Amino acid sequence: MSDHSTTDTGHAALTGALNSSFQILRWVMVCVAGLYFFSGVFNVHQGERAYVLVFGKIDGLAGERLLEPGLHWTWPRPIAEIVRIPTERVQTVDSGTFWYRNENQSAGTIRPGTDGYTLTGDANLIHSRWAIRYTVIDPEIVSFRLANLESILQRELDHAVLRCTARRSVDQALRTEIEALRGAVDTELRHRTEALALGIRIERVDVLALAPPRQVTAAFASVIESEQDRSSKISAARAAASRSLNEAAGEAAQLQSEGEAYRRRVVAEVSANADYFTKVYEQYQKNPDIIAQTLLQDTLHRVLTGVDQKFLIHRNTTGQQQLRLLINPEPQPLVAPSKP
Amino acid sequence: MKRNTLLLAAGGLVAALFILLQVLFTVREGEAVVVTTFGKPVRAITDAGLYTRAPWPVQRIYRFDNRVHTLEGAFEETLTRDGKNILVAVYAGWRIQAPIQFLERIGTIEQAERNLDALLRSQKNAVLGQFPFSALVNTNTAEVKFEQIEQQMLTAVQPEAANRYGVTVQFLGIRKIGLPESITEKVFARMKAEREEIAERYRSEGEGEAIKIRAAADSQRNQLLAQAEADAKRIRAEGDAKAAESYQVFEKNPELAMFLRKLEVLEGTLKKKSTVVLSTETEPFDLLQGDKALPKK
Repeated sequence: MSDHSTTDTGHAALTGALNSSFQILRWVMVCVAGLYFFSGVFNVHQGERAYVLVFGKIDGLAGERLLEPGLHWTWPRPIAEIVRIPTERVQTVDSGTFWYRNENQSAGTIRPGTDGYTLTGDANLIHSRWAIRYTVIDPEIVSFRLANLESILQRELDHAVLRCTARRSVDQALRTEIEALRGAVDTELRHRTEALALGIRIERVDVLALAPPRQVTAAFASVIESEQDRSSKISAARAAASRSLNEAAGEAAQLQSEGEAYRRRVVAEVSANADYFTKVYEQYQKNPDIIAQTLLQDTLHRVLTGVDQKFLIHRNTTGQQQLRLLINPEPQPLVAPSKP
Repeated sequence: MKRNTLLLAAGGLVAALFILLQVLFTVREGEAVVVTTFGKPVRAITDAGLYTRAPWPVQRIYRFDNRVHTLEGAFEETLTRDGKNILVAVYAGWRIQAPIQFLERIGTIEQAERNLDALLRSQKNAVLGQFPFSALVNTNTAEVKFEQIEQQMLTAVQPEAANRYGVTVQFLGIRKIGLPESITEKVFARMKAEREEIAERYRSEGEGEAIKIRAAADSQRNQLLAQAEADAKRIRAEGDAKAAESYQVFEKNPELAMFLRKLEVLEGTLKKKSTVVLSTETEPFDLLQGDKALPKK
């Protein structure tokens, strides 16, 4: 009787323990199910968009597939998967394919694969570094159609650079048409990315650096120096020409002005003389001798008053007189008066 | 009873999950899947979604990345039609076109790239051998045949890649053109010589241009002064002509006019620092002769 009672008690305890375990397990399962359900909540941040793949396929209708920034919910893994894509941020891809690697290289050659370069249209070599700035406009293409967008862009950039430099001379590429070269690469790349439907928009292509090979840097510097020399000579000649022409313009104006002054003076003088004549003539008609003599004497007076040396010669009896004149005598040196 | 039901439900769920995992599979966007039955490919799927299959070992699935991959060919020497030895590297964008064929012929992306590289190399050499070096590098843009060369390579590569490996080459381009190392030394020597020539030309151009500018300025200066002198002469002549109009008044008494003119000249010419020698017979110095100069009564 007691054995039977002990067995019942043990059985009841085991049953109770199992019931408790099942209760706990049930609650654990409910909690796990709840956690699993809520783990599908996710946030799409500013500057990015997101796709939800349900059983591997993009969820939603066309045009509504791309999720905007904000809080969203979807089925957790393995049912659904969230794919985030940076869209608004401008992204950059650099290319150093045509730049040199070894900074200290002083060899007379370039080893293929070590230092990059492009060939110009006149079969010269140049180094260059480039960068693209782009924005993703079709995230679906970028995420699900292309394995590595950056890799494609880098190669397309190199391709465009190669094609554009191959059509230009080394001088055009390095000095005279740098902006035109950049523009050509930009245009070429835009056409190509549109034709290949890469799902991006090229914002800008930049030339980061352009340089001749280090083996000929000094020769290129010499050209720049001589070009400066040429410009200096031309500038100096232009300055001299400008100065000469300005002086000539001044001289010409002076000549014309002198001519004008002469014209005014002559006209004024003759007019004054005519007036003077008219007035004298009236008096002259009344008494010609006295007027003439008076005018003569007045003139001699004025003239001889200003004359430095005057000599009056009295005629001798023979009617001939010999004169010896010392014209422009040497000035006598000044001698200090002797002291008494 | 209640406990048994819960146990059964849990067990059933686990069993259902196991079975579902064995018979269901997903194909992700950008993925291609090939299903094989006892090793034989029976189905290729490129559309994303949920699919069923017979459980292992009956059916097995192979997944491939079906997006566009880029392949960089080797930078190696090739000959142009005119015998120039150059180095060219070509890149290509490709993706799986026929997954079953891809699985049977190649099997992996890495192996596909090795095979495509060989194909590209062969077609690159064949096409470049038809064009001269000037078709790649030329300042005369009309002679540059990049597009034609690349299009020919693409046209040659596409059918072989599709037929042999089940892939489609979507685009192709030349990424690098170079010269053998030994040639670069000669190129540098030529570049130096060209630079020296250009430098010398600039120097002489500077001299020549400066001389031209100065000569042009001198010519312009002379022309300007000659014109100014002519203008001045014309103006003076106008003045003389105008003055001549006033001379008419002198016709009333030419002797008086000439007398007045002489007085003016005399006054104008004998100014300071002059020496004058006169006879005592000259008026008014005739006064010095005494009575002879007295007025007659």
